[in-house]
Amino acid sequence: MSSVSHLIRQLKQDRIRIALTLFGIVWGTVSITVLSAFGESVHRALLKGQKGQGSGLVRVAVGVTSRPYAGFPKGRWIGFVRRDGQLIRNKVPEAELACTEFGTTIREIAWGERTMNEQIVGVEPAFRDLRSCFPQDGGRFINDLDIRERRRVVFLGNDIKEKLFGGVPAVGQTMRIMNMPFTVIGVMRPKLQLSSYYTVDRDLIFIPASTFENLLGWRYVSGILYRPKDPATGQRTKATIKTLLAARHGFDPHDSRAWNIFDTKEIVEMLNDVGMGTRVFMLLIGVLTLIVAGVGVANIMFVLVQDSTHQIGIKMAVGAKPVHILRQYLLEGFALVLAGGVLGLLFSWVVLLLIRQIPIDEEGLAYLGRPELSLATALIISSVLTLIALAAGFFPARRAASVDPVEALRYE
Amino acid sequence: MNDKRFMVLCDVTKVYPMGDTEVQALRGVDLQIRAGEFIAVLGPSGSGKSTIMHILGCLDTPTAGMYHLDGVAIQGLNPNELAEIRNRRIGFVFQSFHLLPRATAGENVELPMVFGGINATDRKARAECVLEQVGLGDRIQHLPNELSGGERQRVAIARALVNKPSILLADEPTGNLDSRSGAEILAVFEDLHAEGRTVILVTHDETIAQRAHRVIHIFDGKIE
Repeated sequence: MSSVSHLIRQLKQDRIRIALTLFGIVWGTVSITVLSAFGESVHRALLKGQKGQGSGLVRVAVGVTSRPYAGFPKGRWIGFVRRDGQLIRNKVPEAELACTEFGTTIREIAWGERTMNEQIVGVEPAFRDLRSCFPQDGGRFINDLDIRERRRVVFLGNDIKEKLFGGVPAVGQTMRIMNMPFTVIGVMRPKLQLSSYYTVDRDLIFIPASTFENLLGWRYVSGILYRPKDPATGQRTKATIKTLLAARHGFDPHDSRAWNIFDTKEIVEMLNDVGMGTRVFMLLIGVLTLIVAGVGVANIMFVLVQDSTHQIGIKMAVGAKPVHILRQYLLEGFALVLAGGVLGLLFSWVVLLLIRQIPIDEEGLAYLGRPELSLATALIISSVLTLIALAAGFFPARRAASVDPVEALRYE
Repeated sequence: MNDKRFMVLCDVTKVYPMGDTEVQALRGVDLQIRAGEFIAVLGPSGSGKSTIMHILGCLDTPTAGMYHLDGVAIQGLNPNELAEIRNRRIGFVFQSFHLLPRATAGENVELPMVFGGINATDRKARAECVLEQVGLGDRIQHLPNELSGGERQRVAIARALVNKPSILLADEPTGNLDSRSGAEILAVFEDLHAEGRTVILVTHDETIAQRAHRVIHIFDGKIE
């Protein structure tokens, strides 16, 4: 007698109970799967969004000294200038890219009849790679010649371009900034950016730092941006740059408040921690849901054992050992959980497929990213399901195996 | 085989807990059965005759006293060893047949072989063979509720015989049958005895008991 065909006949007796139990396992599997997939995709989206601000980027900004140094009292304001950026480029080879930035400052911009007030920054060519501000086809970013000649050229964030020009191609057009004519040389390619210190790059207007300096008369830059060549030795690069700047501006290189430093690597590490925490949390909720479902399976297995006490007696009378009975009910519990798990995984896969069809243009959805069922998640879920199946089958099976054959035969 | 001490009960008592009190099912039974005997255990209901059968069949163990089957002390065995003996040496036939309701006649007969570790092809062949012996060769695919009472009891006999046990224990095997089917079943038992098996028939019916070669009267948990 094949135990599978017998099992199927047995289960047909309790269709509704079985269906509900299966539903519990399916539900548990779907929630654990979808939650973990979201946990992962949120983490991925955060990292990608962080890269949109510039991967491996470090930003150094002005500070106030907290220690007296070389005859100067503490509390002195330290500002950096464009030449500092150039110095880092020339003397610190560990920094593969470096540039300074001015801004932002809100100024009037106009094109034709349209006038608005927007945020303007002055940047140098390395900014393009540091911040992934790549031009759309047909345009370019600010280059060295623009800087040297203090050209009146402008690179637009893609949202600003839409606001000012609408559908009209902007490159080559002349627009006005503070009532001075500027030529549009490029428009930023859209990118996912979920963090910023002023505003996201798609809302910014970029002009050459030299032009900015000249036009607005700012002496100090708002920040120096650089990227260490090797992220592993980022701390040493940071120290080298600090020593260099400290010597030039006369502050104690060990004075932590003489500059304000913002290291995206630290942000990425923090995001990784948050991502791991999120995933563990989601997994925990899923596992708890599955345990509840497992209790359901154990419950129905107890009922099945109870209902088939007489049959257990018959089997024992003809020579079934306790282990035969144990195996049968373990197998039945296992089959139930397995069927629910497989159905649940299939269903989750469909759910995730549907979720991925939703366009993620909106900011909120961008944080969710694109949830996928990863192999690691599937493996974790499978092992959790297996454990629950064993546990849910074991206790009812043990009860079945320990019945007294004489009493079981009398049971009707 | 003709050893007088094939199955030996020595001062066997059996006590069942029943709520707060205890029920004395057997009160010191001594019994010796030779291999190949055809015996009837006769007694009214509640006399303890079923308990004797359960103990003789290794379904149950004595509360006190000793039971030796072919030289083996049964009271010292664990559930696995008892199952092994039931599987290989003993065939049971019950009043209410005790067939698995959702298994076909063939599958019911295969059951002892499943637990005896016989492979599926051999199981099928032997089940068919034994069902043919009891005249049910055309009922292999039928479920118990598609069979008459006599046919069901013959399926149960086929199941009891399929592992070629030397002992056949029957508890009121004709109790749920009409007289004609009952007579047929008793004839089957006589044939099985003629083939050399030890047949033990538990009944409350004097006329049925007379078919056996030795009748043991049991009353109130004691042999008279």
